Amino acid sequence: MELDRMLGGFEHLLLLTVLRLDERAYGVSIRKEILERAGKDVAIGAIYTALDRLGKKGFVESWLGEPTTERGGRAKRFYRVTSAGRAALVETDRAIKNVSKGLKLAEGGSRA
Amino acid sequence: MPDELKPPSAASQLLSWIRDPHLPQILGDMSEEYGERARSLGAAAARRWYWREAIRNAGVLVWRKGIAGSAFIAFLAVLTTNILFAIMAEIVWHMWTEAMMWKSQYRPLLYRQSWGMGWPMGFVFEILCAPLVGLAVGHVFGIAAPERAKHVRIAAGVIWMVSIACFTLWLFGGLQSLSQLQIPAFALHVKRLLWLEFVSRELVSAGAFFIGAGVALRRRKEASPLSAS
Repeated sequence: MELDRMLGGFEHLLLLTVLRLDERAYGVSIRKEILERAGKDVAIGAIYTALDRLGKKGFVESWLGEPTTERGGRAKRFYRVTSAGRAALVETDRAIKNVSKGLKLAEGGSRA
Repeated sequence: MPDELKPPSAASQLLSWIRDPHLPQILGDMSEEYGERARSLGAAAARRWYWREAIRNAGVLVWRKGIAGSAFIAFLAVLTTNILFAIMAEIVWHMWTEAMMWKSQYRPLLYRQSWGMGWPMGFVFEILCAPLVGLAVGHVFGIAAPERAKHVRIAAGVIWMVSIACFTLWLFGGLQSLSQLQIPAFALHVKRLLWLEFVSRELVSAGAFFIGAGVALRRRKEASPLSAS
């Protein structure tokens, strides 16, 4: 497996969230989804920093929406996962499954 | 947009000082969420949330995006070392003068003076305590900025050297007024002591900081799964 296609913990979570939200993934929706599903209250700045990193790796692509008054005349930036991003997700999932295979993750033992 | 749905402009201003390409999106997202919170929880709760998020995001952007370069982090490290050392010194000198000088008729004079405990003791104190503070601060900064720990060490070293050079220049230029008071011997004495105190303390702090940040960096490398490859 290529190391540059391995995702970090937060990148993995973020990419899965963007994939889940499909074409509706932007700062607020991503933040809410992570809070709801993973119970993590992430700063919006941290989301954009990580998305920037994922964009540079070619795992996500973005485009600007229309400016709205509720956002003070600022546009939303929407994100979607690219095919390279999907491949990275598959590889990371496979690696995690391989490493955790046979391990009993609950307290009380290291093997199933 | 009604006024209660407008986020606090001072908090937005705080964020806009940080030049980030995603700033319009971040401010837009925060405004949108502020409006939702103001409608459901009230304007006061929304304002508190907005301020908290502005401060949190400012920290995230400054630290993670590398907008604050290694030099800025190193400057903070040097400043932190000196402030912590000054606080430590103040406490120790206070305790020392309280314990040893309470009978002295010169106590009021000695009380606030750094040389109150006697110059050799003061010097020993500087040399013993400065590396402890430098080591601790270096270690904390090495852990907090692991990706740039190496650059922070180099930048901090440069800042320390510049600081020492500036102090030396100031001492030789700024204390000329003492020489003009027809007490050149005293002025020379003060210069020598101040220079020796400052330079030795700063050099020892800088060295300890370098080691402290280096220890953090080495531990991180050892802990990294890629270090074996």
